[in-house]
Amino acid sequence: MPDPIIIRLAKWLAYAGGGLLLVAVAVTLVSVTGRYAFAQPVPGDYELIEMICAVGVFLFLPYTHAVGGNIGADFFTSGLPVHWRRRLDLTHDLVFALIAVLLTWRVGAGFANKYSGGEVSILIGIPIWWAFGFACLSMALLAVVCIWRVVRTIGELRGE
Amino acid sequence: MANLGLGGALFALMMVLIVVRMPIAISMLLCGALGFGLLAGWQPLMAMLADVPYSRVANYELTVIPLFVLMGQFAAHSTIGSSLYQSARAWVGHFRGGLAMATIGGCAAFGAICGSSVATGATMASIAMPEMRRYGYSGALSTGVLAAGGTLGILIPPSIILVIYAILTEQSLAHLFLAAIIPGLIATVGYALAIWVYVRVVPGAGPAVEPAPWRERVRSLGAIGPVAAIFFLVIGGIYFGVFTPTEGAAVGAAATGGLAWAMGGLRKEGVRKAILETAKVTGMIYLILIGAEFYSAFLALSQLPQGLSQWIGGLGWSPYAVLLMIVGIYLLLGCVMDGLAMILVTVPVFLPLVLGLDFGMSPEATAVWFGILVLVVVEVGLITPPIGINVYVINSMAEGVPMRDSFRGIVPFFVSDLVRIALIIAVPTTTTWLAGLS
Repeated sequence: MPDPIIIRLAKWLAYAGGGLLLVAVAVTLVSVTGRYAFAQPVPGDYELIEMICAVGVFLFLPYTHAVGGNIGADFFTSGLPVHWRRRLDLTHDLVFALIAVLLTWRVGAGFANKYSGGEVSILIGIPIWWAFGFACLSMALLAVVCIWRVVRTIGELRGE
Repeated sequence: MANLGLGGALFALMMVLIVVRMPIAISMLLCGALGFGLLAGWQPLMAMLADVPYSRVANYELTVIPLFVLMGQFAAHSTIGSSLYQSARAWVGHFRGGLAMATIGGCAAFGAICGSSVATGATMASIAMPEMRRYGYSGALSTGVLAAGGTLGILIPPSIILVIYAILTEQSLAHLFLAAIIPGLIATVGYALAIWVYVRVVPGAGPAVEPAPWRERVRSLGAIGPVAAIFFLVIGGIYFGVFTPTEGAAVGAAATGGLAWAMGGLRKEGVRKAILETAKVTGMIYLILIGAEFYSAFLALSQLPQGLSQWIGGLGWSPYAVLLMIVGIYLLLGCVMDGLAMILVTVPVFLPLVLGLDFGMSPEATAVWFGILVLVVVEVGLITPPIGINVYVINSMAEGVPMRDSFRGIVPFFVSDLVRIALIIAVPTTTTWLAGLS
C-alpha cells in the first residue's frame, strides 16, 4: 500500500529540510574559505546559516512525528494489553494535536506580528516573517499528522 | 514558598505523563506551560508560545546539532565503519576475544566522526555481528560488546549530548569536547579489559581467529588516516578558534560526506536515507528542546532548584556525599528515562547544587567535570535494563539471541563503566587536564 498523502507530504518536506541543511553546509564552507583565503567571509553568514537551518529543522518536525520518532518511555506500558496501549496512544495524540493547534495559532500570531512590524535580521536585513511562515506551516502540518494518527488508531481500535 | 509546592506537583505530573509514555517533549511542554501560566499569568504565556518555538529553533549555537547528526548519518551510510573495523581486526583479531576487541576499536574510531550512540552501535553491528557469528562468538558477548561499544559514540567527541549540555549550562563546547577525550580512551581500554576477563571466565565465548599477515595490518591503517584527519580538523579547529562549533560541524559534515562518497557506499539511496534519518532524529531533539524551554522557564519561576539546594545544603553532607547521591539518582533515572530528557529535566536542578559545593576547582572546571560525569552516566543508562535502548537495537539485529543473553553479555561492560565513573570522580583531572582547566 502506498503511503497516505500526508506521510508523503511530510517526507518531501523532510527532503526539503535536508536540502536546506546541505545549503547551510555549502554557505559555511564558502564563508570559512572566504574568511581565511580572501579575508572576506559571506556577509551576515551566522544569521543566514541560523535562518536556513531553522527553516530546515521546522520542515523536519511533521516527518519525525509521522514516523513515530517522538520518543516516550515505553518501559512501564509495554506490559499492557494492546487494547490499552492503543487507548494511551489515542490520548497522547489527541493532547499532542491540541498542543500543535495551539502552537500553530500562536506562531501564526507571531508571523502576523513580524509581518506587520517588518522586523528584519540585524546585519543583512532579511525579513523574519517568511521564516515564521515556515514555522507556522510546519506546526499546522504537525497538527494534521497528529490527527491522522488519531484517526488511524481509532480505526485499529474498531478493527479489534 | 507556595511556588515550591506547585513546582513539586507539576514535576510529579510530568513524571506521571512520562511513565504513561506521553512523548517526552509534550510532557515537558504541557507541564512547563501550565506552571508558567499559573505563576506568570496567561497573557505572558500566550506571548511566550508565539515566540519560543521560533527563537529556540533559530539559534546559531544549536545549529551544531543537525549538522553533527548529518555528519554521523553520512558515515553510517558508507563503508567507513567497515574499513575501521577491518583495520582494528587485523591488529587484535588473533587474541582470544579479539573480534570483540576489534569491535570496540571500530566503535571508538567511528565515534570520532559520529555523535550518536545508537547510530554507532547499529552501524558497527551490521559489520561486526556477522564476523563474530562466523567465528563462533557467543550471542551474549557479541551483542553485549556492540551495545556497549555503541555508547562510545556519544562519549568520544563529537557528541550530541555534550552539545545539549554545553548550551543548557552555557559552558564552552570546545572545553567539553576536549574533556571527554581521556575518559573516551579510558572507556576503550576498559572495555577491552572487560573482554579480556570475560573470555577467561566464560571459555569458548570468543575464540581467537587466524592472525592477519603484517602487510595486511599495515595496509589496513590506510582507512584510519582520513577519519583521524577529520576528527582533528573538527575538534582542533573548534578548540583553536579557527571556526565556531557550527562551522566545525559543517566542515565535518562536508568532509565526512566527501570521504563516504570517495570510499564508496554513500550513493543516491544512501544520501536519501541519511537525510530522512537526520530529519527524524533532529526533529525529535528540537521538539524536546522546545518543550524544555517552557519547562525551564517554569522551573526558574518556581525556584525549585534553589529550594532543593538550600535543603541539601542544610543537611551538612560532604560535597562528595552529595555528588555520589546525584550520580546514584542518575543511574536509577537512566534505567527508565531517555538520556537527553534526563539531562534537560535534571541538570538545571542539579548543576547549581553542585556548583554551590566546594570541590577545590573553579566553577568552570567543576561544570565541565560534572558534564562528563553526566555524560558517562547517560551512557550507562543506554545499556542497563529495563530500557537500555542500545541493547534493544542491537538485539533486534541479532537473530536468535534471547534478550536475556544480551543483558547478560552487558555485565562486564557495566562493571567497567562503574569503575570509570569512580575514576572520574576520584581524579577530576582526567577531564579537566586536556581542557586546560583547574
